[in-house]
Amino acid sequence: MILFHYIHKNSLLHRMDGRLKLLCLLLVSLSASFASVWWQYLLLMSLLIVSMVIARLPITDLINDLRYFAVVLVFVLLVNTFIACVDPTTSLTLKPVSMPSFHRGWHFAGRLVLVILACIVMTGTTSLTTMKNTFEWYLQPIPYIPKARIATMMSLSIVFVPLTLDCYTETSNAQKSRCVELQKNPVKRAILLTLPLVYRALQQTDEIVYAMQSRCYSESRTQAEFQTGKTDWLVLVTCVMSFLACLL
Amino acid sequence: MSDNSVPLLETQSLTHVFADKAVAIKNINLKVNRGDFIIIAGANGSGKTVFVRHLNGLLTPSKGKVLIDGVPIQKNIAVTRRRVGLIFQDSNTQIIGQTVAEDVAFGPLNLTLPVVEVKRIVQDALAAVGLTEHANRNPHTLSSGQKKRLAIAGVLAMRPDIIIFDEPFTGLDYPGVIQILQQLVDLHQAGYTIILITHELEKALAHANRLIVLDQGELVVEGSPAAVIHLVSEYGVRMPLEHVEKTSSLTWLR
Repeated sequence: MILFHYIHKNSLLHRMDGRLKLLCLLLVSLSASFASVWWQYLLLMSLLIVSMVIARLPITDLINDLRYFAVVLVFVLLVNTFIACVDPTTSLTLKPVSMPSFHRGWHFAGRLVLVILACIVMTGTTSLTTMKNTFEWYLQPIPYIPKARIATMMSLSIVFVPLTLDCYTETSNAQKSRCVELQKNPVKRAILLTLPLVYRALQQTDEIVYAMQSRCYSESRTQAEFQTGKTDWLVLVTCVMSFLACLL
Repeated sequence: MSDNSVPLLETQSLTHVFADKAVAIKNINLKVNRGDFIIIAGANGSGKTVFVRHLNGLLTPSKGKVLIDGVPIQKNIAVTRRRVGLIFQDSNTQIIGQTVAEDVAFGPLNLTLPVVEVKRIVQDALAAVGLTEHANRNPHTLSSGQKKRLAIAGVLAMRPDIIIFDEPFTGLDYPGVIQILQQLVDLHQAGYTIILITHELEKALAHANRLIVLDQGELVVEGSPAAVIHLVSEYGVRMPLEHVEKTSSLTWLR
């Protein structure tokens, strides 16, 4: 599985200044949340697919890996189609299906797909060191917070997504090889999968902490050197224009 | 400090008790001299991994202390971790970078070395383990043997004095074992002090000058391989000498 993994290439997006790239991710995510008509979705989808092509990311493999999110997308679609939020603080009720609610469900699922694709472009083209340095740079103006620690935690949490997905695949396959499908109760199956997954994730976390400590990890590391090229600004301008197109 | 009378690394009454009161290691006294090649053997659960994790300060002892050049390691834990490199049993958990080169650079960047120097160190370390052509690969896609070599490169990039290998042959095929063993012997010949945890003595004992056996957290055997080899089977380690007489024949390198 290569979803959310960094894939090393020498492309425009790989060389791009991490600070501008993170800004682009933010803009595309915001654009997705403002999108409401078909051409806006199409615009953002085209932008992201072109980005993946420019970055020479293995699109077919990535889309294949996205099947793990199909369940989440169907869930989002169903929730938005069938649930009416009468009073968000007190109750949720089932409502009859109507075209507007069905459309609303599609909108939410579509936005989620766009955000996932934007994250794939970001994680696929940005190394962990650049990611950490970028977070740290953005946190710099905020006083009284442990910037380096927060930046490390944020970048590591991104590393943990593919590791956890890998762990999920492995645990799931191990259980399938022992006929877990014969267990008809979906709750029990979910518990059977979740418990070892959480246990392994915690174990893995411990080991990574040891590995980092044994190689002298500290919050004062070699300072980052950012370089911004003209094409980086061009990418940012493209994202700003897309954002405006979705906002208006 | 380079006083030859002072051991490079020393443990004094080293004891570790877990939170559930289980005693992992008990009163271990050991001196590691510069240029030593020490093999630590013992059955599963004998405390080998817990012991070596004290040697570079990853674990804090419940009692006793670890000294490097005669100075307690707690005085400067960062220097200790640089000088005592540890190769974990599971190389996957040691991978931090998202490319091979980035992973090797992790340590030198922690030492706040300039970027130009880090690049040179990474190239040297990758060349030393034969991974130069894989510098831009995703480390998780390497073979088990290559991952072990990557872990070695990551440690070499820290310029250590001592390298500890925690069961490096686990999960490797025959060529993989040969490659890692050769690497280990080369490093020793290059001047590194080596501590190797393994219970497969037949693979590497010929290269060691000392053999240590742990049993239920206690150091029960210590001496030159030839002198103590006949004792190992009492402590859950396979006696490798059956039809041969000399420990010098116990290697997979021919």
